[in-house]
Amino acid sequence: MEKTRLLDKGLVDLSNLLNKMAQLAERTVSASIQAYIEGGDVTLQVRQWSDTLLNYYNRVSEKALELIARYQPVATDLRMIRACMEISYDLSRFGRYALDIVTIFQALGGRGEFGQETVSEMGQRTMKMIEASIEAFRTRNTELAEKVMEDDEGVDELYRKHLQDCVKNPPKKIEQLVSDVLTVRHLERIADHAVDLANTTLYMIDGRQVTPWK
Amino acid sequence: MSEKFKIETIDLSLRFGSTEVLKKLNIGIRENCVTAIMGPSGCGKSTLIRSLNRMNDLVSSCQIEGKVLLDGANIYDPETDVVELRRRVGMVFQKPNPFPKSIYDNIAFGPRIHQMARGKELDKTVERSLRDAALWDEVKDRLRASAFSLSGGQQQRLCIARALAVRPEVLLLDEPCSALDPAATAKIESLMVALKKDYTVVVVTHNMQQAARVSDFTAFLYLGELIEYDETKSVFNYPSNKLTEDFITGRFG
Repeated sequence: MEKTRLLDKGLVDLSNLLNKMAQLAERTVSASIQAYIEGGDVTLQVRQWSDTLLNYYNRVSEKALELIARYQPVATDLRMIRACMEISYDLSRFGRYALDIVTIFQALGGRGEFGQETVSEMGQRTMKMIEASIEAFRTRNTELAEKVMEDDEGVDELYRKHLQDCVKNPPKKIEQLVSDVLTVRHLERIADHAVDLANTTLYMIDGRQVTPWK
Repeated sequence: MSEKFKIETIDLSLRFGSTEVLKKLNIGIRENCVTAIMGPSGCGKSTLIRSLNRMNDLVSSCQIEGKVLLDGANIYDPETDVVELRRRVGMVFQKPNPFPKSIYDNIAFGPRIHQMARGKELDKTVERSLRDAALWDEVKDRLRASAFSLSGGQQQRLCIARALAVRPEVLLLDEPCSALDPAATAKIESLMVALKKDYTVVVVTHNMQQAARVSDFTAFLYLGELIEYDETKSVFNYPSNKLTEDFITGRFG
């Protein structure tokens, strides 16, 4: 029987913090995408959640440093702690980009028909990547983490194609164009952070160093 | 980091009577590096380093098979001069064990026996050894005082200085800090790292964090077998064996 270590309680605390953070990050991004597509003002709510995510990020960092200082973790323990710090950063960025999306929407006004299909498609795919990357981390699933990286190619392609469409057939209102381009840009960045989260999960599980950005 | 093996064991097996303590160990100790040997109690780590300068010869029930090469020559060849071997491969033990003599005479003991120095030359050897062991500044004004007047940490550095006085090539340290407080431990650890410039250092330790701090390479022994041996950063970040992982993360041992 494995013995219980003093470090174990700290690792459980860290995991619990991160799980709560992940749930909130998912909800925050989802709310901002939904508001963009269906309309409605969720700025205050998303701002509050984004701040909470930032607060979680600081708490995870503090807890991680405490565990390193007190227990000198090594191997899987150390990788898990590093992973939690990096993943909490990704999750906090989800919140920040979600806030940026709703802020743009409020500042520049409603969007019309232009780009609705792309934003909706990118939004759905990005949400699936977020859910999959968080699930991969939660269940230590390497296959799921690898799939997130593959899915990112589809989002990138949609993003590039949409920019080309914007250049070829821009909408009449410039506000609409800016709002649309910034939103798809933020969705693309959110997807990149989901990839980071998946990579960090792979590193945590088997020490694999994945560098997707060239 | 040196690629040259200063010491290499080839299929080294060792028994005390019917008890097999080391099982066909193959390990290369790199020159001018600190190599840590860790493992749970009874895994054979002290026996391993004691076999690197034939200290186990003194145990009557000990049987050894395989080879231990020092600069390519087997130290278990019958023609090996064991006294010269132990000069080349010095050893420091868990508990500081100064001779009941003055600080000066403790250091001068080896060079006198080996007729390596006398007079002013011996004074220089004593000073060099104490400086190398980071003890000179603390004892230079009381060299004639009893070695027992020193603190535990100072006594251990005195023992290291005593081992260095005969100009060894390899220094074996068997749990050198286990009887010391954190401040004295920190000094010995800094010393181990500084010494690798001129010596090949092998340290047996129960303290994994110490192995992680001071060593370039780490070997993990379990039940007389070499389970894992790699660069220290690899062993502590990405151990390749589940047993190593469980040991260093405190899941057993």
